[in-house]
Amino acid sequence: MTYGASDDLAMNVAERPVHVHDLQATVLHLLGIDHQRLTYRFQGRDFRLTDVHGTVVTDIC
Amino acid sequence: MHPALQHPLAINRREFFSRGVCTIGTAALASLLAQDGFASASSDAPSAVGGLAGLPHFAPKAKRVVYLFQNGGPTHVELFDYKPRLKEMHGQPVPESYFAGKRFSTMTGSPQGKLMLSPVEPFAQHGQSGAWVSQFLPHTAAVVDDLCFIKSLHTDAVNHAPAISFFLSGAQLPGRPTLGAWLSYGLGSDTQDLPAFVVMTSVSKGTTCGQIFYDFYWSSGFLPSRFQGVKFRGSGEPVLYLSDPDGMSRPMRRGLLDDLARLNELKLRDFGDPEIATRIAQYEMAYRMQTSVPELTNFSDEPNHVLEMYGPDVRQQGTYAYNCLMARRLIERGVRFVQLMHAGWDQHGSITTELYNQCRDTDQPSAALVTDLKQRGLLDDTLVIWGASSAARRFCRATSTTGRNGAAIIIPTPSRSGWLAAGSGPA
Repeated sequence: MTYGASDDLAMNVAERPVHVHDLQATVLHLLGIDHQRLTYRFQGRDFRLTDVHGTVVTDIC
Repeated sequence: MHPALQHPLAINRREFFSRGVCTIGTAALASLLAQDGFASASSDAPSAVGGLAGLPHFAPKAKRVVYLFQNGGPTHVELFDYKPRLKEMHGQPVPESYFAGKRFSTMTGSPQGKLMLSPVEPFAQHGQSGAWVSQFLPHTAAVVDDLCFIKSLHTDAVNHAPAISFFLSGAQLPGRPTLGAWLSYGLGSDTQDLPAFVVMTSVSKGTTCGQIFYDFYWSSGFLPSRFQGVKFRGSGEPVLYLSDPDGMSRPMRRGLLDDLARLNELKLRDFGDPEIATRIAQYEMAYRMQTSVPELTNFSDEPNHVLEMYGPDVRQQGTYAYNCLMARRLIERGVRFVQLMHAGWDQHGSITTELYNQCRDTDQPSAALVTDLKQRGLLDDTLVIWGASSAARRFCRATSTTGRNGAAIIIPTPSRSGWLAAGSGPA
């Protein structure tokens, strides 16, 4: 299957953009992980792979 | 007095031995109980070693990942992002709408005044899905129905190393844990004999545009360092000092490590530093790898038709083909995350020459891995990602008509294998 599309000259995203953080959230989702709940406390803050971003691309899961 | 100097003086002889007896006794008891099954995990416990309680959060579709990281910027418009209009516009200036009023980073460069390029090789539709793939990738073209192409990826980074770091760790600056480290930390490992996270790198033969592989591409960041990727070497022993030196027998090695572990346990109890726990665990892992790695790297049990599927380079250590077969063997043995990194996808001015070499070295092994996993039923719960960190845009730098500026990705989904994503980022 194909998801999303670039424009006529493949310069920019034309349809259904997927950001790097979206891809990371999606990979974690496929492995059964909620990317917002896999955290590690470091220097007083809960860190996660997707920082404060990321949306699971459910259409390809 | 400095606390570090005060500490050893604070332990007297009696205290030393009392601690020693207690620790050694406890360790011995634990190992005896475990052998007898009294202290072993209950039958409903997950098979994973380590990992967090409560994970996975929900039923996973995949249990492990092979990340085929194409280092540089595979030009998607030459490989699987078919754009007929590029052919029509070959040799014409880039349309003004693509640069007017826009700012470009120094690395990205403005397309103003550059000429458009037609794809070098013809494209055709393949499989039932009708996916477009060019003649650069005949083997990938044969497995397109098992792939999912993402053609709309975008990133914030404008140069290779920050972009790779961003893809793998979520931050452009080094120092964050990478995807493999997060998965090892969260899900643990399905094997005690190999690391949960293994990295292998390769470079195409005769390439002139290789990128450096920085250790932070498989860093554990601020996670405990036992979650860091273990990089297998591309020549000689994949792991240093795999063989015991002459005169060192296995029982002697075992005894030495046991003594060392007891001393380390004392320190761990005193200081509670997780790095000491890592050190103990890594000594044990290294001991087991002395047996597991020679078995892993011995391809003599692979049938000829499987070796042939991966192509002529498969027997040569350090090649992409060898690493792809190793990836399947690692996955079979319970490794959670295998990260292959292949250099050379940075053909600014050598599309018509080096892209052929690059595809020759990578196309067949990548497709073979998907096929091999599928034939063994492993593709049902293995995610294979083929991708890079930046994209190649469709114009030439200066006046040459043989270069691209710029990235792409395959990520198979379980059951139907995966997806392949074409990055369209600004790099």
